[in-house]
Amino acid sequence: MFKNIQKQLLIKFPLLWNTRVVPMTAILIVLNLVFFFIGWIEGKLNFSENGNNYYSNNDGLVIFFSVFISLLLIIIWLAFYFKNNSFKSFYLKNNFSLFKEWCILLFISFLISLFTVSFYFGKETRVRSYFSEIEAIKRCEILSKASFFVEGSFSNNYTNDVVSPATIPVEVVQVDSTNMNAGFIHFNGKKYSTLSLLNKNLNSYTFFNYESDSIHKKTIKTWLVKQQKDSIKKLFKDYLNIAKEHHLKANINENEWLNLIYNYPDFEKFKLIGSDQKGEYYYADNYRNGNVFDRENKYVATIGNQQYEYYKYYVPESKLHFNYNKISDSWMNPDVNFETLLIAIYFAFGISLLIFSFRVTSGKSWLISVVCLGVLGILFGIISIIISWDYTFPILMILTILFSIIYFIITLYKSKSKNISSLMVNIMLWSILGLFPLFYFITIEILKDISYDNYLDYSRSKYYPAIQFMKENSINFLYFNLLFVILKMVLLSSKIKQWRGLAEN
Amino acid sequence: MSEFEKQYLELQDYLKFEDFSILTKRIIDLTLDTEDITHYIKSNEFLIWLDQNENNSAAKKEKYQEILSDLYATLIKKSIPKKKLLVSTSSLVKNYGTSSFGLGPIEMELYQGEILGLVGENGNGKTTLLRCLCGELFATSGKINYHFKANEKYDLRTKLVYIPQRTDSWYGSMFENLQFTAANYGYKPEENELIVELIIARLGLRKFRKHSWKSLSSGYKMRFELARMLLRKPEILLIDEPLANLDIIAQQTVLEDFRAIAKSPFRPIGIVLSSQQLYEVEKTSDQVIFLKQGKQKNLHEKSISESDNTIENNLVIEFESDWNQRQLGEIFVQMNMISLQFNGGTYIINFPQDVSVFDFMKLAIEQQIPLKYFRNISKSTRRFFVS
Repeated sequence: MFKNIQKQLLIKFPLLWNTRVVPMTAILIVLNLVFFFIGWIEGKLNFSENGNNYYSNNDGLVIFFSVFISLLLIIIWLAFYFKNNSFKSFYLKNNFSLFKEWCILLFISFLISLFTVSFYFGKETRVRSYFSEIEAIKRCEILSKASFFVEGSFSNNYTNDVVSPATIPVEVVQVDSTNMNAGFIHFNGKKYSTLSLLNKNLNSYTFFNYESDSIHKKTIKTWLVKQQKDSIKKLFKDYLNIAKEHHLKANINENEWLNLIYNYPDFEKFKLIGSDQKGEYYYADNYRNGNVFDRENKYVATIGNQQYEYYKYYVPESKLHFNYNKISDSWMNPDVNFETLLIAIYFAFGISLLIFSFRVTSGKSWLISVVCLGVLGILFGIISIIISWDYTFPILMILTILFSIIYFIITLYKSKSKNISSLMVNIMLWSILGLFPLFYFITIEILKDISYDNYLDYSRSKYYPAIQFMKENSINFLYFNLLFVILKMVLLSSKIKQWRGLAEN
Repeated sequence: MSEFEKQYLELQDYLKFEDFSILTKRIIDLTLDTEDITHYIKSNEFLIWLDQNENNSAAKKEKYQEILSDLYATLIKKSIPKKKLLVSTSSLVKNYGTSSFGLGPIEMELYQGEILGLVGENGNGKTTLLRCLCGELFATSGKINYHFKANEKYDLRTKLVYIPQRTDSWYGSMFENLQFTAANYGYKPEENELIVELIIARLGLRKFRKHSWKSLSSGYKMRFELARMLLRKPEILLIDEPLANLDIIAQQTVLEDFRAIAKSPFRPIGIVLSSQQLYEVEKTSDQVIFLKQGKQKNLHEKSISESDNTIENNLVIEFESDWNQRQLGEIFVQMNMISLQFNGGTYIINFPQDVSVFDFMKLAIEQQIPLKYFRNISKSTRRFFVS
């Protein structure tokens, strides 16, 4: 099939034939799908896990293979692509031919750069496929609220929220607060011990922010102080149903759970509900650090000659939290996002420009350019050390790039021989991607330096808004830069065609 | 009678004397001249028929006549363009930095349908001149004027096909490479394969279409370069030492191909070729430039000084004989011989301009001089080599 397509392309669209874009696209789509499915398989949640299992994590291996396959494919593809070079042979070309060719190179390079992205996208798609976003939020809310009643940390916040003066007398208390040093907290106009259940923290999920977590806590506390036991019981029931759905066990039901933790009115005495510790070993530490063993909530089991401690009452909190956190992250903080995609896109632009420069100049001048840049890099490094100024190196690099542009323009204008301009063409093409970002980030650093010169804290400087704006928009800028690169390539590719017509040395 | 009609009569003679090999080539040339897919199809079918009826002489003759008449009917209606000046140089000089060698000044003109031969010993500037003309080298001084339209230098260079002595390798199948060239030069998809088949047949490459570059001899590599050049429809073909590495028969075939390509009435191009095969190049070329240490000597140039004029019109004979220089000198002194040089196996004898080649032959017969070979090189650049 490919043979026939290639045959048709050869006589109808020779550029598409020469770049092997059709077979390469097909191969790369298939390979990206393969990586996506590997990710899909790897993305399966194991609800019996409560932490990252680095032994069964294949991410490193997959990334290694994705890079290896990418390099292999680039070599094979270039072997076919370099068989014919109509530009070098002075075949008929219009002013946009080279730009079109570069666009095709960019497209193939982009597909080649996507293997790792496809893998992570597959992983995240699998995680997301468990529940819709609405359902996932609902479940995480249940888990988060219920985690309030599971063993965990206590709050050390000083202020929770402002209490309406209309309900609570001002002289009694103005805010709900926690004072760890004083050993009490305020809630709803009443004092509670900091060791009260009311001071407990809950496990959060990325679906929720500080505000929504606070609202959840307040809801639970209100249930507790207003004795809304049914609401709490329903929460436990929902929690245990989720656990049951994932074949996770708890050794208490909702009624037992409620009885164990509910101790109205001060909520100081309550049983600790631990996480399921099945298959895990915690050394009994009753003699360690002078602690008294918590016989009320834990028991000691002797396995072999070793003593281990376990909670008497448990729910599968750590396993649920670990896995639902992944689900929450897959919706809220996916690994494949506009920032990480930028890495693949820049990589693709870089690869395409390297290949393009090789194509339009020659292998010899390409290698000489690499060596020249290497030597210049070392030289600039030495100069930077001697001068001891932070910006010496980047400024020398910018000057080199500007020199290459000016040399190229003069060569074109004089229209005689190429001289060393093929080196300049390579340097121009390689730097086209980084020139503006280099300016951008140097500007930020210089502004910061100026600000530090005048103020100890640069946030007080008049340049601070500009610095913040530039920092916050750096991703947008990097995307805009790609647009600039494309526009620059439209112009440059037609100029390179003009340059190619000049005499050799 | 138009140029086409003259050529057509020539083809009729080929048919009369059953010189099918050259006739086939010329039929393909005429087919390409039509620029009509109907004729491409017919000629390709004809070539296939020929493959199957190699020994059927009577039927072949009939078939040849049929296709010739068909082509004639189409081409007689086509207008023949006037031959235009393609390139001219004025005081073209090329120096290589500190090197003592310098080419030029060169004055030349090349018209459509003309072949210009560059001759000279190695290292005398033939390749430099070709590279200057194709835009690969820039002139140190003087000018090269191209008399056809080109928007910029790249476009100009698409119209100047330079085939160096050592060409770059082709990768992949030869046929695909040629199809790629044809597609780049705007041949329609439906005519792409037909035209490539015709051009391959034109250059006698049908057996080699699936060969790899490495498996081809240098002669066939050069033919594939010519095939590619034909697809590129250049204004000027510049070719460096095309006869090197070819046997004498292949040399004659290639030169005949050059003539046919350059002198196509409908698609004439200019050809500049360099060679050391003086006799063959002189036979084929419309003008010859001899280069000695970069300086130009034209075969038919008008000399300015009186002394030059004398030398230009002398009778110069190159000959081979068993007799020694003394014996020969004693005889030819009767004809006011100016000089007699022994030049590594052959003698070069110089007479004043009033002596003719017949006088030389007459005296040789009278004196029964044993002549193994002789050639009048008065009008040949050979003169420059031996002087």
